[in-house]
Amino acid sequence: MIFSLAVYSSPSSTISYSAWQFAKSIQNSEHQLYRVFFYLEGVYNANQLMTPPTDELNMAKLWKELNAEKSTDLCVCVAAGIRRGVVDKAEAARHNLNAFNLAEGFEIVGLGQLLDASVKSDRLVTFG
Amino acid sequence: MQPKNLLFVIRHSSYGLFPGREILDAILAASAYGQNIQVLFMDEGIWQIKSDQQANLIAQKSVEKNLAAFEIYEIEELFVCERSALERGISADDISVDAQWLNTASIQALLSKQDQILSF
Repeated sequence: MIFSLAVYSSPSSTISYSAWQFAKSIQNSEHQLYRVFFYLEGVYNANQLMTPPTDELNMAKLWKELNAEKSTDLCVCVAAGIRRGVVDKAEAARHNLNAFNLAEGFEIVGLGQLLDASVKSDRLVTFG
Repeated sequence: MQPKNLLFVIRHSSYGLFPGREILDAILAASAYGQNIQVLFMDEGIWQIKSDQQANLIAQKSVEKNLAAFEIYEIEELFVCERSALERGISADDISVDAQWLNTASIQALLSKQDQILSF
């Protein structure tokens, strides 16, 4: 079965970690994880500047591992990202910002990719 | 590819945890892809369609403009959870959109015919 996840909660919420655990379980099963789509407060999961204490979870790093192991799409909505200051190099240049902070492994995409994920997956599971 | 039946279930209010306009944006964006889209407002999501919102008092933009765009985007199958509305003292006169009111059994029937549910 093909799964996609929608993550709407911030990385400091345990909901985001639940989403990650679920994603990891899919990758370790016979099922396929097509895409994780970050929207609303969920876009903060892609902020590479987050630096929690070392004995706490760093969600951006955890998601990146997930992408590195099985090349799952980690998609961040461009509009939600710009609103909240989660941008890649191109968006930073477009909006005259002097820094970008999108973590490696994530990509900035349009909202249509959420619909694409829901149409191309057997199950879309929402966390948020 | 055969169009899929997609139901957006809105369960958050407009100005709380998530900005209502971003939720409605997701629905508007989805309308461009030729799928069968329906929207159900339930629980706190009922507040999204309450008429006479005075969002300016909390320095927010009202979601009423976004809702008005639904018709232009041909998102016309809107549903309200009757129980959620009654629990909050909201009647048909209080809502700003043309929606069908559903009891629990009808909501179960609506959910069961979907290919995918997008929950907000």
